[in-house]
Amino acid sequence: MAKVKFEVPELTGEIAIPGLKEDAAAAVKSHNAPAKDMTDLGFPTELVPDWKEKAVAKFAELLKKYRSLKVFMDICVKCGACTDKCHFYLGTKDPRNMPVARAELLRKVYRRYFTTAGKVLGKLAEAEDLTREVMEEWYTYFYQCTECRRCSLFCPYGIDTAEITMAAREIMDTVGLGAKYPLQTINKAITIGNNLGMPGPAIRSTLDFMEEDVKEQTGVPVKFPMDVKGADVLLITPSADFFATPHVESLAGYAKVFHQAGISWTLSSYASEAGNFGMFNGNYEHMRKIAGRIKVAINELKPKRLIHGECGHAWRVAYSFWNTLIGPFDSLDPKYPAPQHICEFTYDLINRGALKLDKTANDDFVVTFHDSCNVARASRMGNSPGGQFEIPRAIIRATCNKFVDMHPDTIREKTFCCGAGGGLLADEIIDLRIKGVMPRMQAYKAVKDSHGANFFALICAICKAQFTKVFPYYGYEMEEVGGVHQLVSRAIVLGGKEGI
Amino acid sequence: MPSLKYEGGSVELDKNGYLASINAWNEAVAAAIAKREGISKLTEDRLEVIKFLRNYYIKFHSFPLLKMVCTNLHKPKTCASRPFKMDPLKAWKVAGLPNPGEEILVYLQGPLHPEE
Repeated sequence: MAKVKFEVPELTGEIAIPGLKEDAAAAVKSHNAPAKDMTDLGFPTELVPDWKEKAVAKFAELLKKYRSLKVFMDICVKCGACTDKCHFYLGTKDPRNMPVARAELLRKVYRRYFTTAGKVLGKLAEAEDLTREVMEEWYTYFYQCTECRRCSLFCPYGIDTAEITMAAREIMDTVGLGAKYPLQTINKAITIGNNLGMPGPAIRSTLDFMEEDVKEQTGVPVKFPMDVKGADVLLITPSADFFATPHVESLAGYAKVFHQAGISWTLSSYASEAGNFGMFNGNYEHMRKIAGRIKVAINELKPKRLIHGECGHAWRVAYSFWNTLIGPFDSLDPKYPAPQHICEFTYDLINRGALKLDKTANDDFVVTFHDSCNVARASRMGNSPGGQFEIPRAIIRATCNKFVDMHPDTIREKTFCCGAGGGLLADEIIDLRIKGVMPRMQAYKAVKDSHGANFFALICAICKAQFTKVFPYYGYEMEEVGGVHQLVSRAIVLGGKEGI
Repeated sequence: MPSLKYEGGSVELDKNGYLASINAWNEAVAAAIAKREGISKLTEDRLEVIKFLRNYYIKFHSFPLLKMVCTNLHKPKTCASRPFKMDPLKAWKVAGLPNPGEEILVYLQGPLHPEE
């Protein structure tokens, strides 16, 4: 069993609103980005001498560019509806992790430099100078927000707190204060083509291994194609699917579904990443560069369809941003959505009776489903509202006999974040991640107690990485964590009924 | 740059403890890095893993899928989640390979792998 080094919240099965503990999370800080990554991404390597002027100028630029940001700075009435909705406040008890208090770190500076009352009255108008201390607070607490937007759901004004976090991070990057994990990951994605920095031949070697592995287990020669020109489908998936456990089990699921559907498909070694951390730091240019590789792959491989693997924030980027970043997708077949989520694809095949699924293959499991925040609150799936909730659940129900949902206040659009999205999967903040996952763990504990839940199904690479890491701290096995297509992979009957 | 003494000489490490030059590696260097990382003994099993990681890196410039390590070394299936009773990142360091980068680190760091 794992060594427990941190204070792990007690599991009771209930989410209690904690009393305040000032500065409880003040010491939790992401590491600064190395000089090389800052330089490569066009940022200064350390805080520039005229950082205050540059930061205010950047703030002004963002307020002009994003009208929404200005509205979000102006309209908060501090009603408090968001205060107890954030997993980081519930987990750390730090009052500055209440979304309104975190946003106030930026708002007080906004008032000082961009409102008349703040310019004239200063502190009387709740305005504050941008000082080194304030900037440090920004760095601490805007890297304690996963941009999950649960607070926004409960905000009567619809203030998108994630956008506030993104703006603060973009301002800090510009003056030379960047965080290592998200920025190094962005740099790898831009230069090598995926977050993990895996060159094409390394991915191919993994795919070869998976072909052998699936053949050995099933006796069926399921292919894992890469860089095949003219294949019907180009699959864009997070690179963790080529490297990590349990991610790779979902990759096997996708391959088996394509095999059984008789549809030709390919991965791309050049565009080997669905993830796009550019969004986390609010940098449109980085987003465009990362997504640009997909456009190149479409032009080279000439697929008819574009399908997207299991990844939460990446699906938000794909669903909401690809069209403006790299669209329009004129060369693709207009009969299909572009992009289409792998869950939509599999769900469609199940509905048409094109897949034979043996539910008993998953009889060892009582499955529950964790809605990933960027899928739940920032995108959709299929043709009807709520498809992003119904489709993955329908797939799960088709692949197992025992499914149970967690408490209604913790699923669907009200889902709790895994505690590591938004560029917070870094090891140095594991303490924060353990506390941030607390609400979700309470909900899981409740269905464990009531229904014996023992399989935690996901459609997000970051969620998979976070839960496999934090489950042992709470005394659960990492093997309980898996992908929706991992369940498909286990249940699908290969052979028998080829083609559609 | 810190240097590390081993039986037969000394080698340079980077600030995070990775061997500065991949070519400076031999089994005596491996033993010295292992000791620095708190691994008391490089058993045959562990050396096998370390050599696999090293050969894979030289060929593919990447960390292999953990499941691939298990299969290639004919280890039991559980090896994929708790590989070779050894922290894979330490195995990587002992193999004399460079810092694998932040995203690889976040996937492999953690409490899952007993140190000894």
